[in-house]
Amino acid sequence: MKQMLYHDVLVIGAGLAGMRAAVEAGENADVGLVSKVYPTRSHSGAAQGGVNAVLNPADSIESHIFDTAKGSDYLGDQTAIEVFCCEAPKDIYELEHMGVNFTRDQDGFIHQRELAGASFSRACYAADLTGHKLLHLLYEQLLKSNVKVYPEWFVTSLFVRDGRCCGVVSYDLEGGELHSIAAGAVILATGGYGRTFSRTTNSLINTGDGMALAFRAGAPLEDMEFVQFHPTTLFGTNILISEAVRGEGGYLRNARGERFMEKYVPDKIELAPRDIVSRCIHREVRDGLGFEDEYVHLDVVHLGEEKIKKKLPQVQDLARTFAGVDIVKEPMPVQPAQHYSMGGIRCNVWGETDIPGLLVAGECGCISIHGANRLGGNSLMETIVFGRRAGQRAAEFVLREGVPDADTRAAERCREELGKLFDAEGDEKHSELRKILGETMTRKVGVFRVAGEMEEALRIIRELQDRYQRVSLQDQGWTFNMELVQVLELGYLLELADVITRGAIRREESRGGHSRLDFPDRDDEQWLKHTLAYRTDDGMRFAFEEVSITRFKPEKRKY
Amino acid sequence: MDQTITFQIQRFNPEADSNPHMESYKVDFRKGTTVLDGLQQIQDRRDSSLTFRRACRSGICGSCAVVINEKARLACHTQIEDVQKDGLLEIRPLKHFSIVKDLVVDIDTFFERIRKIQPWLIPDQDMAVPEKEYIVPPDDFYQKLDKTDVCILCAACESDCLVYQEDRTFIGPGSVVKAARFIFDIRDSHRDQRIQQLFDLGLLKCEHAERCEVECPKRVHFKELRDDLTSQR
Repeated sequence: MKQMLYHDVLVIGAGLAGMRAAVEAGENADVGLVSKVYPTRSHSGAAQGGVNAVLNPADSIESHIFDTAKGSDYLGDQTAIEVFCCEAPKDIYELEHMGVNFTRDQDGFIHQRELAGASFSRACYAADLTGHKLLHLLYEQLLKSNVKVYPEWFVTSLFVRDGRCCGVVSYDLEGGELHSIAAGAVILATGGYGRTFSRTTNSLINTGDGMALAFRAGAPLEDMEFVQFHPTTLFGTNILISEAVRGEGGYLRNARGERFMEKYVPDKIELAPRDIVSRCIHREVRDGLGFEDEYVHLDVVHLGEEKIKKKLPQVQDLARTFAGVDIVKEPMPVQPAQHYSMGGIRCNVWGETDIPGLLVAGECGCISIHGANRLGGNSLMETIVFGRRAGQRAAEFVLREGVPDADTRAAERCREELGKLFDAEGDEKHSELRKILGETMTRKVGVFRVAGEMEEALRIIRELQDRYQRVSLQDQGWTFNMELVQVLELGYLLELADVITRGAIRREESRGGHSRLDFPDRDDEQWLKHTLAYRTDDGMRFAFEEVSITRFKPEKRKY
Repeated sequence: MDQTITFQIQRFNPEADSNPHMESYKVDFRKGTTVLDGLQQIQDRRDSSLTFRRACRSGICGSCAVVINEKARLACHTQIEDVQKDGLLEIRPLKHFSIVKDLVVDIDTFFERIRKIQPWLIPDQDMAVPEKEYIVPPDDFYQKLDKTDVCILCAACESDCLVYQEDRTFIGPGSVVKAARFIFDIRDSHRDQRIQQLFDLGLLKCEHAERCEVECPKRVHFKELRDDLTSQR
């Protein structure tokens, strides 16, 4: 606790975005990388489908921009989308040169597959393990670099001094101590908040840490009401079943055996974007056409064993292990679940936030590329393009602005605060509160929303926040205290659930992943704008920001 | 339809215990309940100080490798009904690593050994980097690469390795797989040096026990790999 560590650039989170940022910044600066898990445990590794870029001469950057803008239901900032789509091809080749083992076509070139909402097959992929291979590749590059990694260090607060972010306080789990780490610039790359929902594809560690930390430090969160529900997750565990399954030709069927997507989106059928397919599955189940009133079938039997083994080996394994289904012979039970956070810490195309010295990259940020709905394959590419940019910009910032004065008492103050938790005698259990939060969010702020239900959700969240004050710790040690970590994570989840729900109540329209039964239409006149949420001493404050529209005027979004 | 089983778990609190000891807990389970679900149940309902690593819960991240009834496996990828023996399940931390707390071990040594084999692509410095991608034909050689880069670094193989048990200088199966990933990559220019390094680090000490292959959650074919590499010399 007495130690003061320092790095020019400090990255928090060692998933794809964090490691890409660290490696980039490491070319020109001294970099530290803090992660609450060993880097290759990060959730980026669970991504399956693909990473988008325009490589084929028959494809065009303009097409990728259009697909992304339309996919975002026109809430994505087109200036940012332009940067993203223009730089993606260069990043793919750079990744390949670093050694990513992409799936190849017969002639040895990178093969690309079709994913939902794309007018061209532009998702580069590695079987159905794309995230795993990218993550391990970045880890190799990390080992090659001079970045100092702090694995299993959990960040408890950011410190901001004279308006500039100058470091963090972090809990070293194995050492059992709190440390202040001073930094010229901090990059948050902490991923999404999936665990606010009980039904989520997300890892248990996706608790929105960076978003909550930035929010508490005064940075606004943008578009938090836009939550992506992935249509095909295994019934029971909600483990992700890649969009690539549909990309390779899988069919969605209801209890009558019908390919029901033909009714809703005859041109794209199963390859309509995620928000649309999730709603359709919900409708089928609600109309009594699902199985057990819970799920539908995803069928790849017609693809044949060879194709399944080659293109979908991981899905085959997941379905067998977690649903007891052999996809060569029978369909899988799937239902929608929370998957991705379109919203996040507001930032620009260089990852800069409202607080000088604080940058973000990856899912925890909102630039906004994805607007109201994200296309498959764009998130993996986002981590690379904007991880690189944030890393570059952070190093430049430190070179220009120099080293800030460190806050020498930050860790001590934090220890005093946490000490109260150790001494607390309340009878609330964090696991119980987390369970109630998750079920509330899934049922009341889910695929279909309505004012009354969301207001009830807010009431429950308030009650949980109150009960949270009476949580106590059974584990009284400082060494690897996962109970302490989970209690702090719960605090982050409660804070973010509040922002998400309030944003959802305010936005009286339906757009992308935000679908309201009481306001079923998109309302560009009133709502073609980004929501910004600020934490102030007087409570949460909302503001709005214009959407950047350059090439493509908003149209009715049909597929 | 729930059955009950007893989990016997090795516990160790570094701040209070002088030695590890076993503790028993009753766990409810049914078809599909994983060992990780069981551990989570104990943590939620009975003892919130029970400490174990976990993240993805879907057999992808490699966090939760532990010894279940004497074999190292991923807790999230193992169903209770498949491994229980007479109503009992014994869970211990990975072997060959020092214990931090309960089921959490210090795996830094594992990652240090991975680092030793220079686990990054080393392209030929004398050849120009192509403007676009390197051409990599999807041939048999490529298939070998494909089979090795599925490893999730869970270290279960290291726990079961009998050679490593006796000789801590042995490079260990995890690093062999990682080195093989580059040996079978046509873009890498250090193939010969990597193979030589594996021999220098004791590849031939492998006693052909193949325990590593039996429980590998990603079904890496250690025996095939080892035979292939030894024949390369």
